[in-house]
Amino acid sequence: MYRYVLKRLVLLIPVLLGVSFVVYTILDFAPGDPARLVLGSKSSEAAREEFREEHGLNKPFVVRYVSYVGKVVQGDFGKSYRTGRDVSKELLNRLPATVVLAATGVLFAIILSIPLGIVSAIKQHSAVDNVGMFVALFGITMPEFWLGLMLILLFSSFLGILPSGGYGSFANLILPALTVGMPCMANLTRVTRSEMLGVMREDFVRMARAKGVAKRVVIMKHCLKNALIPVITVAGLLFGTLLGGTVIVENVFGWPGVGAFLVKSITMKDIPAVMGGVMLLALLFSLVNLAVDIIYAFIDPRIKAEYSNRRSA
Amino acid sequence: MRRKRICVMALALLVCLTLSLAGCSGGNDSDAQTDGVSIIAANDYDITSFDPHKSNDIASSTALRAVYDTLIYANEQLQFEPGLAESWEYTDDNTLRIKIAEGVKFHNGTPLTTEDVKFSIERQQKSGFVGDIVSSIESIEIVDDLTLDLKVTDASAGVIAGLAHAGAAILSKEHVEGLEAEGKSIDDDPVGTGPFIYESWTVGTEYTVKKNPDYFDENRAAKADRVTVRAMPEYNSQVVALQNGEIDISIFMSANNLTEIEADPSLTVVRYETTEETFAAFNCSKAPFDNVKLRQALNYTINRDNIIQVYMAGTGMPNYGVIGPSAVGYTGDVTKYEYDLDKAKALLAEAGYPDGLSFNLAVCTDYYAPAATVWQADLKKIGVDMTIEVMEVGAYYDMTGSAEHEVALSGWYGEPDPSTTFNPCFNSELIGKGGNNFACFKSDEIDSLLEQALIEKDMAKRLEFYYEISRIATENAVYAPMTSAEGFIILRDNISGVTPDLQGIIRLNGWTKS
Repeated sequence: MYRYVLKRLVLLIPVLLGVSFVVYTILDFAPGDPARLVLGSKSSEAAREEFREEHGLNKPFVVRYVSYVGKVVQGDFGKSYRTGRDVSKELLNRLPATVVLAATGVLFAIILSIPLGIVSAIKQHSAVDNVGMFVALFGITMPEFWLGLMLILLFSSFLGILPSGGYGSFANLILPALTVGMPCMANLTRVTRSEMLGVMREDFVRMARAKGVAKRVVIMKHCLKNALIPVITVAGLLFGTLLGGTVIVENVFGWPGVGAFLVKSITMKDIPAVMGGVMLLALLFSLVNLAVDIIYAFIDPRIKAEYSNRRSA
Repeated sequence: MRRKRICVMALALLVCLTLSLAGCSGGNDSDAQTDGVSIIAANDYDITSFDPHKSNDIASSTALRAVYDTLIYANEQLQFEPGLAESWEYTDDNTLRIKIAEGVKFHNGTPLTTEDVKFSIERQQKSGFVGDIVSSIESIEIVDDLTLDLKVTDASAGVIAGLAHAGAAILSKEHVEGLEAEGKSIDDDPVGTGPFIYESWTVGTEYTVKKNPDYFDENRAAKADRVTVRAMPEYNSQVVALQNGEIDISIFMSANNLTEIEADPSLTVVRYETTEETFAAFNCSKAPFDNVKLRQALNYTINRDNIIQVYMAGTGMPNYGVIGPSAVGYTGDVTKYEYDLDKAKALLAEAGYPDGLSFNLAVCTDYYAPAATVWQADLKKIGVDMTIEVMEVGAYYDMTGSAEHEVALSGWYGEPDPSTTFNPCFNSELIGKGGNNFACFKSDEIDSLLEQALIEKDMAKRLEFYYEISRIATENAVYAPMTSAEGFIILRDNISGVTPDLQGIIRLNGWTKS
């Protein structure tokens, strides 16, 4: 098991290298002169030339890429062209906000979707199922900016119980988390339901019922555990996506996350900032996936056995 | 059983983690709200830096002007008044003698001296963002603690305007050198002489400044005790926050939200003209737009009323010149091409295109796309087929920078000194360089006017040169001028004293709340 985790961690290195190369290449070949975008349209050519010289933009692509990677290996992500501050500092400033938002959103989704999915599956085609599936469809199809604004209108304008935006306290977190969590919840509910329906028709479930195991136990133990693997996979992927993809929600609620910072950096062609941000997100995404794989082992003994077999093999 | 427990524990851990992260992020929700008047404003984006030499944007200049002072103060009408400099005069053609006010203290208690001024300007000259503004200063000679001589290459009025720019804020030499020796930056502890003292800045979220009780100039002293400016990129969210009283002021509101705001009796709208102009620029350096008749023909197809409706939600005003009406150097006394499709058609035939033509319009981001769409529809009526190509900022300027475009649609803003406004767009040396000479129009007359305006000391005479440039440019129809935007500040009804300057930059010192 530990060896497996270690191996996965080592495999991260080529993944990150690949990501960095692809992103650096795209950034470099995309049109736009960072000197002009960062210094502003009224800057003089002399100032721009100095900027290019200072940031090594006049050197060939390969030289720049290699020296960038060399610095990153030593833990130096460079300074943002735009703000002049360390990229690592800029990102770490914003990372807590992003992680809190994504984690709360996914947590909210998991807590609501699993019971809802189970009930929908057990009472298939009932009123509960229909309502559940309607909510799920609603959650998936609603655009986030609209959902966010509607929640603001309801909870801050009409009811006046929650702040419309800002960052700092738990009250500030509720609406953005609901907004990002809603589509996840909808997604997970549908996955839980369909997986449960599949498992419930398996022979071993019928067998368990036939030998007299209580229905509740069969559902929670025999069915749910088997249905949970895809649910966790999807939850992990959603969490990873939320780490980088909450720009719209960040803008609606003025939430100081990594997403909006990255988008702004991209439009300004702030190469160190974009590189740092993308690498960080790639790392987090990979770690979340690794965590998901580890959770599998706790839920499914067969997978755990497989991990252990690899060690002996 | 054991596994179940692990699952529960893992879930509990996740909950704890989330809550604790949420908790620690709550740390900055400080109890700063002490007695006195505290005003919260929203802007659509956060500032870049409290270091005056590391930014050149409107949001940052508001913050800089709160914490720092400049030698010369540009008031709301952009007229120059004494700032930290009590007086200034040219002792000869190349020497500007400046006397600084006595008894001014930085927020940390150290007195302001000419050493600080020299240090600040020299530091500014190294900045890529704002160094150009003071590039005509060759050297600085300290005469005594309160007097210094600036040696300038040419004694133009532009030097004075440069010293009034937010980027020419005066820093404390001792303090900045101390910070830099410790490996810190100005953002860690900004110290100035300004009407407000820096209190906190959460990057990407908000900054707070408090009143400087010992400010040297009582006319410009802060009225509010504490001001917070919050970054809220979404205008709809700003409106709700205003209505709820979570914020008092919205510094920059979108025209699309005005109807809703005007219907709310608790909110007041401050409207102001801006220096902005949206225009399409013909690339006069290559065919077919090297043909003045063709450019004039297409100028008659600009339906400004429709553009105002579609592109600016009914706000703003038509413009026929080359820069927005509140820009220094603007004149409306130019050749006006009013919407007239018959005239356009006749001129088109005269230009040699009786059957119309087709061309490509490069549009700088989808922000300008609605204006392009209106124009496209009108062009179609006279048989001109225009393809709209919406481009990302970087790609757009790469194209105009190499003069590869046919026609380019974007906007331009005025600067406190007209040379910075006009030179990048009309200096023929800059055709195909930097990307701002959108029209790529080569005229010796304009070049010589720019040259004369640069060295002229009398502001009234200088302006005449710029008016003449506008006339030549419109006569030759190098642009198809469209509209100028209005700016909107939204106040809750208990707020007053918020006026933008001609640049649209807001000063915090006059704000009051009843």
